[in-house]
Amino acid sequence: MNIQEEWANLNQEVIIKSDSELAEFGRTIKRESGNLLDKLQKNVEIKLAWARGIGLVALIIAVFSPAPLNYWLFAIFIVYQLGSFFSIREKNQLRYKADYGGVTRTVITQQLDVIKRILKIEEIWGYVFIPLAGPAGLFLHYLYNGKTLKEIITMPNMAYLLFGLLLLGIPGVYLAKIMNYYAIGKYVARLKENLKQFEE
Amino acid sequence: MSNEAEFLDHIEKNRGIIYKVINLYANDLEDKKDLYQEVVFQAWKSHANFRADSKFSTWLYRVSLNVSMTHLSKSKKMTTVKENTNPADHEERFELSERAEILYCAIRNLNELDRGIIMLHLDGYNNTEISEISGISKVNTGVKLHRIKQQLTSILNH
Repeated sequence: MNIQEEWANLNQEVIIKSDSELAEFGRTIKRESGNLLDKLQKNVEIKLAWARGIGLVALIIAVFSPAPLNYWLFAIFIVYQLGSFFSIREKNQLRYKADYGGVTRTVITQQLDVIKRILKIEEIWGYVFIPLAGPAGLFLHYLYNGKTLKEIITMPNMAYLLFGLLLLGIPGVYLAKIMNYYAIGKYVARLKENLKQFEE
Repeated sequence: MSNEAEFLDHIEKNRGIIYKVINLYANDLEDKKDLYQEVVFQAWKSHANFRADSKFSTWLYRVSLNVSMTHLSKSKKMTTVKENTNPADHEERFELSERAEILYCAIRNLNELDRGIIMLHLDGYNNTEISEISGISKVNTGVKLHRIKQQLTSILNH
């Protein structure tokens, strides 16, 4: 079998057959990438915006709260701001714009590097923000059940209850790590496997 | 090339390149459609970096290969493509002539990087060009090509 000749024949067949399957996609450009990396970057943006919003809510409530709850809320606000600061600093270092016209090895290496940075941001985000989800949920629960903010924050042992909920964030962080592994692990494995092929 | 219609015209004229690449990296029709659209999308996004002194076809080859090698299939089959290279298993894929099918399956049996290298080689790119596209050294490209050809010959002779 002459491989070169067979390849030329194969190409002709592939083009004819593919035209019948894919011609409808040839005249438009879709508006959103299905690429996991693009989605991850978007998720990080959304999470950071959400964190900034929640931080401000904690600050506003703190202003109207008595001690010791206001200390907790101020602390939450400061922790959120610190978390946001480090996450944003990490995100700003990304400055990644995929250029798929680049050298294959570089494209794969860059993508792995970006994922590493995104995971670092996710980790910061997880350690800072997940523990606060419990207290926020508790507030919403009481507000939803008709209690006023003043009634909630003057409830007995509220400060201790919030501290207990903060501790519950630890398994939450662990769970988030597992979820990230399942969401990204396969993609990372594929990139690493492809990169390894350059060394063989 | 700033305008979308002009860009799509270039894509249309060079669509064979995308077809060739995605057919060797996607398993079923759904994956192919997905990958085709992703290649066009990423090419559109990256085309500002396309230098007019290089050939559009070579640049599109790069984009198609890079997108295909980093794209994760929706149907989650792409990473296991090597396990699914029996012609009989490709019910959704179009039917090729018997001879073409043999070569097609032999190439799909190679690892993802080797598929790209042999494709470029068979399409007339020399070792220097393949090295520039993939990022493998020129010497290593030659070594790999030699090994790939041996592998292909061995598969085709069985």
